[in-house]
Amino acid sequence: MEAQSKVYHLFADKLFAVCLKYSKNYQDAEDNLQDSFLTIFAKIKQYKYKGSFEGWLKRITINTAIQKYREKTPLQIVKEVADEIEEEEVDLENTGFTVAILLVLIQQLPDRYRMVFNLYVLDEYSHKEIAALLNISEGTSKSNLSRARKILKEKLATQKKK
Amino acid sequence: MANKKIDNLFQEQLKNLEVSPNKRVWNNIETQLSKKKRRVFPFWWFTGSVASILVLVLLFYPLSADENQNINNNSNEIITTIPEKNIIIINKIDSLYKNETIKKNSLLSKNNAVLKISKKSGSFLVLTEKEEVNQTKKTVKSIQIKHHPIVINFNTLRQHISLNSRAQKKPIKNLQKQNIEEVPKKEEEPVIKKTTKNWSVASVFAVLKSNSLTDTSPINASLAASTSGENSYTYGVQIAYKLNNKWSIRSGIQLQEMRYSNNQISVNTSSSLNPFATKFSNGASFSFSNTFINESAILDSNSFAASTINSTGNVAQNYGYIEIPVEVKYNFSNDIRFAYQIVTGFSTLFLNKNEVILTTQNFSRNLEATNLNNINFSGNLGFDFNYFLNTKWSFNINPMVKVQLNTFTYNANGFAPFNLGLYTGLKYQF
Repeated sequence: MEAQSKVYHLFADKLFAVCLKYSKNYQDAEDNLQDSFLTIFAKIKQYKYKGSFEGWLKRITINTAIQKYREKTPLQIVKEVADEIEEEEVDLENTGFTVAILLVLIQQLPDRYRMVFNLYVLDEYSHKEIAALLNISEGTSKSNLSRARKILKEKLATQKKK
Repeated sequence: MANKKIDNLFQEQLKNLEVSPNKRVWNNIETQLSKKKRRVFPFWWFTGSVASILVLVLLFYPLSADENQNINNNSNEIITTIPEKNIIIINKIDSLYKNETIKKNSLLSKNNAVLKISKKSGSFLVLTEKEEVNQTKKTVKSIQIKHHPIVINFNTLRQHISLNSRAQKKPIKNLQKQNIEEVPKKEEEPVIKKTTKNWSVASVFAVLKSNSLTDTSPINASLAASTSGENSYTYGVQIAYKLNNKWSIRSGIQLQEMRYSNNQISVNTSSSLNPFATKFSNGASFSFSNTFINESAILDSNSFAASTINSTGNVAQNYGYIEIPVEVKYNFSNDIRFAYQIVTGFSTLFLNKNEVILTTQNFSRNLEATNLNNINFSGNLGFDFNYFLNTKWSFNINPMVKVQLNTFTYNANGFAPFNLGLYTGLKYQF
């Protein structure tokens, strides 16, 4: 348990940021982080020292997010956690105002657009890889990306006006 | 490019972002990890018990095979020899009667009747000998007894029949000797035939009545004395292996469900800080009372505490398991058609359904109890009545009591569940 605690506390901050970017709210991000670490501890013996350990952890976290996106059912939407979410977003503001806004803008994107934008822009996956991961065509991936950019642009513009 | 600007903006700000998650995430992970460790132990226990049963089967297997060899050889011998014997007996009796009828014509009709009886008793001989395969000497005695009533009527027959039975003893002894010599040749065939009939597969369906040894509720302490067991069902497949004529072991896989309900109780939505409230796994918590509050009382309580929603309703708790029983059966009967056996053993139960349905006048919720163990065990005791339709198929009725041993992790208020089940099934032996 001690070793696992060390791994968690070394990487939790970085991986939680990944979770926040891939999830639509704080609660989902927490769930994603928890599931990612459970997968990491279950599969840690499979790490083959190829590439950085951090990269491996990040890939598992992203895969967990993708899996959750794929499995999404009406049941998860019904989850009764509405009151908790708002509490946590106040905490977020301590990490810097602009970052918080950008993060919220990403979280507000429709699920598929958020996935594609994160994978392509922030984690440098190719359209081909994204298409395979999300079970869509490369064309869909590209058009989703440009729509995501368009939405973000519009929202940034309205933010500037404020 | 506008695209690049946007991409760069997000990359700069978010690429190396670090945010500390709430402590509860690690706490959750920690409890999940320790849960997994705990789960490993009972599973080993289970596989261990399966292994020990396999060892038992292997130990008993050669013994039971030996017994079958002996029985088979004997039964084969006698089946082949009986016709000869009968011929001898009947021929002798016939000739004796013929002699008599020549001497006493007046007795002719009665003699005919005797002939019929003797033929019947001749066929009876075959039956008794089939049943008491190993005890040929005893059957000879019983033959004598069977013949006596006839002898009383016809004194003259007494000697002949006792002669017959003496004559009978001799050929049997001779035949036995012959058969002993023949044993090595016959050994292989019957062994295969008999041992393959030791396995049986049965479909199982049962109606269960859930009960508790104590009058409490696992949901909330204040629901004591209002919990009642409901009827539910179980179904599955059983496999049994016959170790010998008396003992057999059985296992299988069944889906089992337990149902309890508390009717006409009052429910409060309550904060999780209330020590008397029950927390459910999705974070909801309720407090209960088993006193049924009528409408006017609700109005009164509302005027005192407007913050809590008070309403009357019912709670139904259903939980289901995948059941793997390991049981021993002891056979009391010798009947070919009907077998009754005492059954005892234990079951390993894997939780696969856990719901608490809360229905009130104002709302209804599907909740999940937090205090059910994922794996628990039950001790089983019952009787198994088997009626054989033919040599392969049989129908069985099997009343069982199953007492659960460690259903709850904590805070079950001393609730000790058990169920009464009437199991029925169709069994195929091979």
